[in-house]
Amino acid sequence: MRDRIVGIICILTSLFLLFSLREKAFEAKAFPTALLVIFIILSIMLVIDKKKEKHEFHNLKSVLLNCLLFFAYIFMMPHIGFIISTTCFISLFIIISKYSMKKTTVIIMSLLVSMIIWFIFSYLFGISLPEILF
Amino acid sequence: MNEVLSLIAGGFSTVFQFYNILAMIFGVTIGTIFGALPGLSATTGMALLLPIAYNLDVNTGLLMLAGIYAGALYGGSISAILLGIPGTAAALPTTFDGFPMSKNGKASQALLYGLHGSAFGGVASAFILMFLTPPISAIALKFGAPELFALSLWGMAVVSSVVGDNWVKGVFASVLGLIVSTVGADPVNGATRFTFGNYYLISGFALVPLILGTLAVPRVLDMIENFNKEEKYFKPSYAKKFFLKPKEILIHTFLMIRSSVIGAFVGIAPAAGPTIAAFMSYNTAKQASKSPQTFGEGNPEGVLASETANNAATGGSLVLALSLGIPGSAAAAVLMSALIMRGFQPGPMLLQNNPSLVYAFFVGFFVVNILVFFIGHLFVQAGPYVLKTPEKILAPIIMVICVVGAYSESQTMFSVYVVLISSLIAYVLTKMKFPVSPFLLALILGNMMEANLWTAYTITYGNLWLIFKRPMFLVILALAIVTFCTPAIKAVLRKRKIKLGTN
Repeated sequence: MRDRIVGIICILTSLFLLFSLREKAFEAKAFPTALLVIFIILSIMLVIDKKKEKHEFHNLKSVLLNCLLFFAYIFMMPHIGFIISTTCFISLFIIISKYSMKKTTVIIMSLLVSMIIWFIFSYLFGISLPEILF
Repeated sequence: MNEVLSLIAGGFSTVFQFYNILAMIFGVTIGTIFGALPGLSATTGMALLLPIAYNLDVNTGLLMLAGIYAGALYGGSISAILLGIPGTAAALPTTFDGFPMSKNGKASQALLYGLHGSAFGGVASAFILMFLTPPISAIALKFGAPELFALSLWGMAVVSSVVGDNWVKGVFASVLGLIVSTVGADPVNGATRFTFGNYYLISGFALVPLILGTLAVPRVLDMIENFNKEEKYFKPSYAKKFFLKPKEILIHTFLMIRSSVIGAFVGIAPAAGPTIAAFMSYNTAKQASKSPQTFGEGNPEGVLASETANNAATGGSLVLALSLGIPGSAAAAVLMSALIMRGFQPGPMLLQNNPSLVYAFFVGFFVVNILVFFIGHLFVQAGPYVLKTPEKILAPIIMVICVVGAYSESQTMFSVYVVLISSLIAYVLTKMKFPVSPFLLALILGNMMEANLWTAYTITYGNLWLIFKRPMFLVILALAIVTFCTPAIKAVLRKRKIKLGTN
């Protein structure tokens, strides 16, 4: 069933992408057009495939929760800087996943880890990470 | 020949000066760390140390850069084996067998095999540089656009053996990879496709964020699934392993020689050389093996084949850079710029005008790979400690390193968003048994395929049949067809055997 949903989404997306190519030069659209047509055929095969495969998602709740945390981390990083956002991310992650450790230790450890990463990348390697406060 | 040998002897006397040895040890150590961190590559490391190399003696500087180059290629295998995240794209096939090995508690063994393979491939490429530079550059000159197109087809043919059980899903993933590779400016006119006004997409999707997104983050999510379960994600290993016994490695001698030959030949291809070489060598090892079904579940031969080939491929790419002046990869371009800054022009005349410099570099490349072997043993001992970190602490740190790796690739947040979105899509699709490796292979080869097809089309004035008159093209095309058909033919033969057996 889920294969079918993927197939249908892919067919619709490919049709949209084919539509976006319509005014391009021949050299620009020949290769992608051929690929998209093959892709649509494969997606149709996925839709009509009768084989049933089991898809198992375990522990979905904590995966989703951590994904949300990851989202928040990435979107906050340009606004509050690398060190603060990384410290928050690592310590929240560890606290959410219920690792037995004192909260102060967790926070100090994540602060240390993010400062080490910041030091290696930003100071030694010269790669400027987003930083506002530090 | 005598002349070459005396040049090599001169090279040894240059290389074994105290400061040069020191520079090489420094280079290899830094290079290994750069290679092991996803997102950072040999190129970043070499570019970063270029100013230091400029201030050193010419030989010392070049040897340091060679150390970084060789170290980074080896370092890629460390993170590929321990965490299943290839530190460099060329280490992608190393994850197929290296990661299952480390999940089964054989991390140090897998790391040792990777190290032996890397060192062997590196030494092989040093020999290629020393003795085979003239023939390889002659072959390289025959590599035009049609040949490179055929080579990319050969690379795609490898897909037939990594598709997995459901071929529709495997082909689906590889076509998706090709489509993603067409995003951005087209190779002929530079007209933009699928960019929808986003100017970050004009140069197409970068490889590093997509590798991190499709392999690294889903693996962490996998780890999260496993939290609070009885069964550990990484099986603990109690056996300490410091060295491989000579017997354990000598039985694979033929495999390593074969992988080196594949690496040396395919390494000539610009840009994707080491990656394609690693895939092809993995594929050949799987087809030649007596127990191909154990590949992908932790067969040390897979690690050896991939690591030997990607290190052997550096030989081809350095020949191209030094004797023809064509930078085959970004790292080779940095090396060339180090030469140019000191007033040496890489190209056909370099070997004639400055033979002692070039041979000192060749000999240095040999010594550097021996150093990789010795320094690597320290990393092999340190590596498994990473896996002893509790998973609940390791998981967020890997995610942070992925984010930093993607960010450092382009210094924009856009790459990080690519990691985020591709990881969610990849996580759902891998759960539905879509394989990831055909996608990445196609992504790497897509640009090479399209650009060279159009160049071939242009140089033949639209009459593509003319490219069939080129012998090299036909040879590679034949190899591609053989590679593509072998798994299918083998499957048919096996079925017939079973039928005959039951009757």
